[in-house]
Amino acid sequence: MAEERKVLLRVENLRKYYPAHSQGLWPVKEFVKAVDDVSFDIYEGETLGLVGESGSGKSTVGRQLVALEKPDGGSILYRGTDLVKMSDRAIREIRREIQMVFQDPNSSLNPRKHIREILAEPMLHHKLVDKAGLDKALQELLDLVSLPRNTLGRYPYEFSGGQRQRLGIAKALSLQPKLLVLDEPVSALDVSIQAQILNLLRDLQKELKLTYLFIAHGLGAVHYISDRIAVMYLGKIMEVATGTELFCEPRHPYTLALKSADPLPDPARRGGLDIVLEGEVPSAVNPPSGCRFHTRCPYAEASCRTDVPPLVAVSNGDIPHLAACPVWQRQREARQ
Amino acid sequence: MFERLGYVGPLLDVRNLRTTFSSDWGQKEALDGVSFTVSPREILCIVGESGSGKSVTALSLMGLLPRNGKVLNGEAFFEGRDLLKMKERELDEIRGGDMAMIFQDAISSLNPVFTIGNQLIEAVRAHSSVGRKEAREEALGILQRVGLSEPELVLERYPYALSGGMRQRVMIAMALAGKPKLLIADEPTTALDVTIQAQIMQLLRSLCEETDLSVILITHDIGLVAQMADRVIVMYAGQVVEQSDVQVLFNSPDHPYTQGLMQAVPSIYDDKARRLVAIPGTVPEHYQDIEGCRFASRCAYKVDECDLPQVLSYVASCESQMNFPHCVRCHRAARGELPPYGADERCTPVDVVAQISQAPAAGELKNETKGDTNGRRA
Repeated sequence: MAEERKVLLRVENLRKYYPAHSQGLWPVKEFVKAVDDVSFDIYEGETLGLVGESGSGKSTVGRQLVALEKPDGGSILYRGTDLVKMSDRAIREIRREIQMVFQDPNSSLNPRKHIREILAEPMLHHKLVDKAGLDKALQELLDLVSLPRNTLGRYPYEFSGGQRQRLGIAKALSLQPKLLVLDEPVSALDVSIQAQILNLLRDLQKELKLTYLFIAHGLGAVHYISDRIAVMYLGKIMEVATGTELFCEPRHPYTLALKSADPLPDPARRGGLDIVLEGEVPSAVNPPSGCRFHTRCPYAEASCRTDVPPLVAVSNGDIPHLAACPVWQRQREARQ
Repeated sequence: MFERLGYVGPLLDVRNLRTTFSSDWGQKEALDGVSFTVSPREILCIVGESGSGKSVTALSLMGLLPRNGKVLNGEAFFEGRDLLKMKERELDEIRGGDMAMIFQDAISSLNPVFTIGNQLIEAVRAHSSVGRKEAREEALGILQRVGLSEPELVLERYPYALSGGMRQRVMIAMALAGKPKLLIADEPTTALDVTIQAQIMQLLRSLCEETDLSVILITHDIGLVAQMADRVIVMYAGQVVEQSDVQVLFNSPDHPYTQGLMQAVPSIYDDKARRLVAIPGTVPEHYQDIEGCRFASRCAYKVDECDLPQVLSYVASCESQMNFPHCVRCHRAARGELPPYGADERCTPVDVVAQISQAPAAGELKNETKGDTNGRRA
């Protein structure tokens, strides 16, 4: 990474509450706290991985960045300007620079249009090319994602899953974005295809100097592609660090639990799991007080039930390691 | 596995299974001569990508193929009786009884308009002649065994009111209701979160140990295979391409596809600088028409000879042939012509052991008090 790291996108105290019941005569009093007070930075040219189980709010964060959801609080500063306060019209321009790739390429590609239309429409709309230069631009796009050039006249159903995901990426790249939000881009693919797409994403990042927010639940894929990883649980960030630090030296019990649950591809090292969590993720309607993880945490103390732990730096390297668990830290120090 | 002396023969012996699906466009072959055995108390993993035929294998055995599917030939001896020649009524006695199956999607396997109790008690009574009251007692016992802490409450619930992990536990409970000897689990945790997956896998393991249960675990996750399997079958395009003891397979995968599969999976213990080795291309569409090796078009070691039909043959340098032969459907690998796994610099297996030992010693605080957490077999 560059010596001087420039923040491309800064998210501050982002909040998204969905009403728990959308129907009924009486006003809603309960909310699903999908994203609750989330802050992070994404530096230019880096990949920030966002991991968590289902219901952790990781996708909601991604959708808010591309303005598919309106935040209920907080700010999203893109190059210093706050996207939340912007008018819809003004946001349209910036939206070009922040594009999204979805998990399911089937539902994000219009089945009635052929590839030429799907890829050309956004470019023409944003006046990035004129009619004359269109063909050349389309060929270049297909080359970028390694699809054969003669496929422009085909429909999405004629492609395999991996090829469709390449199209999804091409569609996002057609607007020459700076930041790509990748929402589980490889989860629906077979492992041999996953590796192809992950490598493609890595190459594209280098070639086009892109910045990624990579959202996924598969730890291996996130580690492979990310410079830093943020771990989310029930709408809150638990820990942020580089992949190596995060998995070799987790500073939050939840990270350790996630790591332990990730099956190790080595039959000689069975069992010996650090912790296996009991129970399930609690409901986000009435999330646990204090630390949201305390109901499943094997290290929880009385204070965890009441105090909300702040996300603080736990080591001072070049890239700060943040964690939201002072208790475990203290316990470990006491043991040593 | 050295119980050769007390060995009484496999629980399930599948030979040369061939299944096709017919459609308006003709016959499509889904399985091409699949053979394997399952011994008592073992976990056999079938691993492969989508469309490789691993689920079709299970459905063929259970007699649950859709209407356009047909087992052309082959034999499947379950305790000496051929499942494929049985009448529907005979099969019914075994299905859900001695042989049970759980699916990826638990919600669609449960009836939404009946309570769990209703369905589970019915399952218990279908396979033993007990009264309602005893059946209820038994149902409660089973629910407890699959790790549901408040069985009375669960009995009253409808499937929609349970979480994904609980539903899968209920599915396992329903399967256990018939006191099966063989449980076929088709991607049971693919739809679940990893922390829940760890719980379910621990449960399956402990069931195998505590009861005389054998499991066929169908999965695409190579990590799960390493953690769960005693033996492994790797499938590709409707064929078994490699089969082996799990330890042998991970130490020296011989088929280029197996090697590719292992290298293609990113792991948290990897060195990030290492580039993933992807398998180029995709599974060929009309693979039944390919006479030679079906993986040849994606294989880095292809020679002209690969266009000839391949058979599953013993690996020449195999030490564990006595117990369970290491077989591979690749003439070059069988003769030991391919470079050994890991010799290629790009695919050096990472030393996970060193990194793991650095992890903080944990679990000593609360885990000791729990009974069921040390279920994993060492």
